[in-house]
Amino acid sequence: MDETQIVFSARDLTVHFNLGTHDSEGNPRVVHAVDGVSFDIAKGTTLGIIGESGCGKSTTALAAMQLLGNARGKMQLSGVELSELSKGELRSQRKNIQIIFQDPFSSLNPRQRVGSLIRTPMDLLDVGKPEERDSRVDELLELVGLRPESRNLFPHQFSGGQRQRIGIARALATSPDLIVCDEPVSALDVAIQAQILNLMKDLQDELRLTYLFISHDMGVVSYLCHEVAVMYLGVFVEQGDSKEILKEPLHPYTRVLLSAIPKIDPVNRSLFDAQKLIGDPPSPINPAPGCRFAGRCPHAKDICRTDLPALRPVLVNGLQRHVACHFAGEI
Amino acid sequence: MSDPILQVDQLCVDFKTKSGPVRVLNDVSFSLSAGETLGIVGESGCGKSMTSLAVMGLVPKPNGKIVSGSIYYEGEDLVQAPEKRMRQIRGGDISMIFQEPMTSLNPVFSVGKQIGEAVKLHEDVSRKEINERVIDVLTRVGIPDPVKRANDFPHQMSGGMRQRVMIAMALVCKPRIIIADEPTTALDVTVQAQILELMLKLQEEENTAVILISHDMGVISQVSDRVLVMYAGRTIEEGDCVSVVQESAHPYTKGLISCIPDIEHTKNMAFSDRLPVIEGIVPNLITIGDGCAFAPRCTLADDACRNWKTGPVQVAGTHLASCRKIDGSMA
Amino acid sequence: MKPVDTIPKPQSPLREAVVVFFGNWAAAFGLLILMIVIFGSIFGPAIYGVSPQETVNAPFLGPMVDSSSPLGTDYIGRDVLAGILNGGSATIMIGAAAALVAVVIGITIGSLAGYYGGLTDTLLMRFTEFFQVLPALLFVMVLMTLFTPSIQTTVIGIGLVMWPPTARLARAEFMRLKTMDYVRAERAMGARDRRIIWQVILPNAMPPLIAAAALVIGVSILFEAGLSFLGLGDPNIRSWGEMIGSNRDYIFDSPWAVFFPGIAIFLTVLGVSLVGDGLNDAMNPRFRER
Repeated sequence: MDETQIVFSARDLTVHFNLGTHDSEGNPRVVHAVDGVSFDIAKGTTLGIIGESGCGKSTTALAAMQLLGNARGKMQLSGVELSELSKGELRSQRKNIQIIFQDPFSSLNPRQRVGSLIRTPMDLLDVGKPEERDSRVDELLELVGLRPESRNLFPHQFSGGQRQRIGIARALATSPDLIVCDEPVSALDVAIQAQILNLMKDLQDELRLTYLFISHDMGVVSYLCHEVAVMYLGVFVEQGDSKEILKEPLHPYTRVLLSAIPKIDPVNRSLFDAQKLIGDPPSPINPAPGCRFAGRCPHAKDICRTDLPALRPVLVNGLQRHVACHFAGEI
Repeated sequence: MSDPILQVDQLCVDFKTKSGPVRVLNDVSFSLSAGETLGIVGESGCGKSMTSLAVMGLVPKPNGKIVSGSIYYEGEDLVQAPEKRMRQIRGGDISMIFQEPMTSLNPVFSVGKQIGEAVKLHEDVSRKEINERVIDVLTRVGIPDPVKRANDFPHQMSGGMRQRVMIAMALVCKPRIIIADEPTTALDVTVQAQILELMLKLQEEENTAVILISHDMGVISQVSDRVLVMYAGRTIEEGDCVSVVQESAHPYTKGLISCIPDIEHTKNMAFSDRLPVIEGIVPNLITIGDGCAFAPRCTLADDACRNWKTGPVQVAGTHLASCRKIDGSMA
Repeated sequence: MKPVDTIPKPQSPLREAVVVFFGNWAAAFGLLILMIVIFGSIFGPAIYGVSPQETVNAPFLGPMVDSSSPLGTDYIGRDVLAGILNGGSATIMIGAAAALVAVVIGITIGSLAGYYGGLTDTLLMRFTEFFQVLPALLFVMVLMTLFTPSIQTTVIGIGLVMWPPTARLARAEFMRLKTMDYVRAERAMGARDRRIIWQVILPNAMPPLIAAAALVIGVSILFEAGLSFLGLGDPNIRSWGEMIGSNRDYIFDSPWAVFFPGIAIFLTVLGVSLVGDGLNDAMNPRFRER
């Protein structure tokens, strides 16, 4: 039983962007988009990364896809260390990791027919026998709930939800080990969103797919993801079982985030009892030492402003969780 | 129960397209009382934004046109009002907050100037008083250091700040009604909670009526007194918030709410569970017939439904739904 | 898994563009003008049969004074109508060829600058600006004096001054399109730069470029007319510009010898511009619409 087979493993993944300018002390201004995140994704499971805009979650996804030139750190795909590969070797590894994008309108080439769009990854990465690729396209279309006649049409002839299905079919074409999903349902209407989420779950069960799922929506993440990492300003602040984190969040930021979500409960209106964030949103440029959340945390103490807390394991209800807080479990 | 300050009756708006006129609003009816918050909810294309544009007299010309129905504001039918009168009303009596603060604010003028312009258009006051009003309203919307901030340009502010400026602009002439069209959709969830709280606080202070348009059922549930559900240009359910959300009568409303991954439910779901979905997609308004617009997707629909020209059916008290199968009752 | 929705009808993008194009009366009108001009240029000389270069009648005959020369004659007695019918093909072909040179150079430079950015962009743009600030007419005049004027030198000369605007347009389109998710998707599939530039981005950048190319044709025709007017064109070709130029000393004696070629240029450039605008409208909105 390969239940604990790790499909993707990241260690100290870091992405910094140099702005080219300098601050008042002459230090170069660097955006710390992703600052040393680590995670493992087990086969057949989904790891979600959740956070608000600017936290670095999309950057993490692109780094995992090897689409960023300045990503540092170790990334292993099914045991292969991606950062040490040559250009050609990396190219041949691409068939094992594919991506679904957020915007159904800009993620498909408007000039390419659907059949060709789905076939392209197989052609470029030389997957399967060329004469069998067209029938695989038909197979994939059926798998995502579209008729095979769709192959001759252009993306603009489909609705947003249908286009996401096409995007999913394309991502599945090379039978990748890992599929990175960058907010794939955020641009869809709620009713269509439910259809696509169910499709993704069904496909995961049927084909034992592994997903890295990026989102800002905790509801979607808790539905689809086994594990979740909460991201804030480039670091993971809490990591563990998604339902456990929902039931009992430990990190102050996670608590604020969850309490700010408006629930469909008109009787117990709790939105404005939400835990408050104090202060201004900080900038990811040359962040101050110490906990990234210290400036806005209602519980911050002196140590929080000087020492960056590492993710440490905490046992909650028998399950291991990781929390980056000096006072995890105490507040 | 006070008289409604806004009463919309059987409003129909047509749009000219290459394939002929399309009815984008079909017999839309609702009322709004002073000081009340009406939430209009629906998916994209349902007509919720068009409804607000119709009230403001901003239906895009030349293709769009109000063909029948009435919009009574304090006894005056806005459909018949000349443009000069509508200009007085916009901003002065009824003002609007849009979704994207970056594109709703003019990038080349300072925010103070833009707010001041709103005052100048509606009231005949000195420049000194305009400045005072601007500083006052910026303080009320919670912008720190308002004297300095009034000279800032939109691009110098964060998304949340810009939305506060939009609210300030909407409020400065003390309107009776504010229409907020997806005011928090572009904001992070933590900022959203702050902005919604601000809006409700200001509403209470001024006794302004608010029409809040959103696709987010959670926001609608937390903030509305009454709710209006729209689908394919029609109003299909209306009533007080608790009734519509917890005791939904229309199959669409029921389906919509149950397919949302709300964190209160997902935290207790097993991974093998699936979200209940509404099959199919929103109908094409060009080819839609006269019968119930939701019938093609409705699990309860029969042939009579497909031919039934919909109208509101009373569920209980002021709770109405356009369905002939509520609790077995037939229209 | 059972299919989700009804299937939309297959639709050729070409057919749809054609429908939009002809729905636009200005564009259809422009196309009509061009068809007349092209038809006249191809079949006109054979049908009319009069030589444009030889003296065929008395000089300075006004239009319809003698029915055998409906548009009159010039100072040597050359038939004006014959000159117009014969000059059309030269004018149009030179204009079109020059536009082709300009567009090919412009797209190549603009696409590389827009796609690669950075130092490549800076260098290519400085190079483009160099050509853009050259006083176009003077530059071509200098070229014509250095190399003997012929069709080839005229085409290349005009092409060399007309490519910068196309390059800027191509660069802007490539800068916009390279950020599209579908380009990222191609990279995620291991596509190489060459494929992304020529097979993925370029087809999407074409609509405004085609429209711009149509306009470049128009301007090239005017340019060629100007050169010929100044006597710098190929002296063996009697283009419309050449007709105007050679008759400019006699403009008060035989204004028709200048007026009619001028009208011909005007109508052709008008037709090309209307078609170019129509193409822009027909090919753009669909691919940009959500």
